[in-house]
Amino acid sequence: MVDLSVELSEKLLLKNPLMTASGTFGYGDEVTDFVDTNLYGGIVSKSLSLNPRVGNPPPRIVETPGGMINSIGLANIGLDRFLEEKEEYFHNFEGQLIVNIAGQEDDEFYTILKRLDRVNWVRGFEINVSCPNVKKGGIQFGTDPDFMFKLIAPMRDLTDKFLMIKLSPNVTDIAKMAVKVQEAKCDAVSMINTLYGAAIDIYTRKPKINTVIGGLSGPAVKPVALANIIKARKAIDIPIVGIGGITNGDDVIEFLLAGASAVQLGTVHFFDPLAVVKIHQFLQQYLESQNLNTIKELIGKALI
Amino acid sequence: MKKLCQSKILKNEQLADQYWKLVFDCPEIANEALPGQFIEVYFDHSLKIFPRPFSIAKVEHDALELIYKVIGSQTEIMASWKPGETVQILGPLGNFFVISDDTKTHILVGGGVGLAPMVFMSEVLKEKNFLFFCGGRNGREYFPEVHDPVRRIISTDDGSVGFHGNVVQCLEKEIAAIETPVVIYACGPEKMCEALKYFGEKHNIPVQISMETIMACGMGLCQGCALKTYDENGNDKISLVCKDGPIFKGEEINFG
Ligand SMILES: Cc1cc2nc3c(=O)[nH]c(=O)nc-3n(C[C@H](O)[C@H](O)[C@H](O)COP(=O)(O)OP(=O)(O)OC[C@H]3O[C@@H](n4cnc5c(N)ncnc54)[C@H](O)[C@@H]3O)c2cc1C
Ligand SMILES: Cc1cc2nc3c(=O)[nH]c(=O)nc-3n(C[C@H](O)[C@H](O)[C@H](O)COP(=O)(O)O)c2cc1C
Ligand code: FES
Repeated sequence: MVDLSVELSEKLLLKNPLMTASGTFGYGDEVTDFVDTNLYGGIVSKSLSLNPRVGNPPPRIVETPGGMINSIGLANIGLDRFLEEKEEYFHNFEGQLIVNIAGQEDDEFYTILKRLDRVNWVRGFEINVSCPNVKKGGIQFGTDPDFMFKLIAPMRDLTDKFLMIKLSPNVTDIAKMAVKVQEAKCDAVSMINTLYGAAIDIYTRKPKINTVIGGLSGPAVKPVALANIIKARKAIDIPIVGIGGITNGDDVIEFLLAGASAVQLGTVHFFDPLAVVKIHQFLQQYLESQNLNTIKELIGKALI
Repeated sequence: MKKLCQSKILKNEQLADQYWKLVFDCPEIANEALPGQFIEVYFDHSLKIFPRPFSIAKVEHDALELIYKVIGSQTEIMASWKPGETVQILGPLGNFFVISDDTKTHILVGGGVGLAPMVFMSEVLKEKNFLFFCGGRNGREYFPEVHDPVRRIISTDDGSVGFHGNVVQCLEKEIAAIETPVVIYACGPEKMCEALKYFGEKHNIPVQISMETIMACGMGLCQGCALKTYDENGNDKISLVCKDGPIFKGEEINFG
């Protein structure tokens, strides 16, 4: 048996490098009819805010070549309902639950962190400083290194749990952002969130999503994600969780080679809900065929 | 419970101009499906990444039937599928039409591809009193057979077959003669559904409408299929068509 486990910090051991990307897997309990969600090393929840949010008006999604644009706008059930309704499912989940947090201002992030720090079935946090779909907060936190540092620096004192910052590709230099995350003593960075994207209906001349500009994801963004990971890998020592356009086992290996210690599956869930099963099998076969005992041996081993 | 199945195609045949019927051997979904529910059909490698939602048009033992209109790239691919091929499908998804024993006349209204779930309804209501109003632009559209032809009332925009006008105008003409209490079940173009919502309000008839939006996942993962709705108190709300729907009460839907 090959060893698929990876370590994102002493605090967070994953039995395999596969996690779900925030906002693409509900709260984990939608697919249990036909997928064993315990195949995931970790589940990252939909971005959570203090109070429920209805999100943006329709239309919210559009299909684009090899991808999609979304403007969901962080629609979520809010902290209280999350704690009430999702406890049972996550108690039984054998992987790690990472809660993704998106506040509109500093205090909202801190309040949620403090409350969830005491919840034993929450194993860590992913801070969304990079959503392109909310007017206040969102992308602003994620594009200015100093602005972001001010937001995240106090977080380390609020929790000892695993703390990861999710970065946007919509910046001039993602390495600068990653360095700030390391300076703030966070445990890891995840990248990438969605890219800016737009689409226009040529008959009505109207934008195809309500916010005009939304977030592009899916297979089309994979090379962008890889390039950003390679840049960040050179600049920091803390682990990187790779996200963006992953659809199969080959992609996962590619991300690990580029320097990611784990990955998140996102848009693929919509068009191949069994991706996790197939990738799981592929990883085992690949390691065996390469005579490797552990998947850790691949991390950052691209000949760059 | 929703099932993800690799299902064998039993039949794929053209019904009319652009309309096709696709039959899968899929006991897992067929045995649980209720009228109004839909499935997602998945495609192999494609620049277009979303699966496509289709209403369940009929179930017969282990067979699951769709009626689809070829209107774009993925439905074109579907028309090329041959019996014996295997396709991945997910279902049954969404809620279903609620049928009450108190209803004296069940009115099914379908236009265009919205006919599919109404065909399923006409099967389920076979022993009950129903009328099936089928709308189309012209006589080249597909008008499904029903076991008792007098229950099928066709209207076409150009008058080439049946009533000359749209289904709602046709229904307006017939409604006085229909035994009450009545419930209307509808699926079709948005304009038709909107008109039926107000028709129901005017005549004090409950209307259940099947709504369509673009869907990415079809099962509550992405929150992309948002629809503007009202809650019980008339406050604005957002519902997910794939999970909270596709069937909504007329008064719930905010047509904007
Ligand atoms: C709940 C539901 C039930 C449906 N039932 C039927 C049915 O029984 N028979 C039938 O013929 N059609 C049905 N449709 C519509 C059907 O899904 C579209 O016709 C189909 O997706 C077109 O795909 P295409 O690639 O051929 O066309 P495209 O050229 O890609 O798109 C043409 C149009 O199809 C619709 N469409 C495209 N992608 C999607 C998507 N991912 N989700 C939803 N709609 C989309 C849009 O209105 C679009 O403008 C249903 C849709 C929904 C939401
Ligand atoms: C429909 C949708 C909703 C998303 N919602 C969130 C969210 O709430 N919070 C977040 O941090 N990222 C969100 N994302 C971004 C994804 O987590 C991921 O970073 C991005 O989609 C790139 O990965 P992918 O190409 O594999 O999907 C969302 C993406 C999609 C497609
Ligand atoms: S289509 Fe994804 S939630 Fe409805």
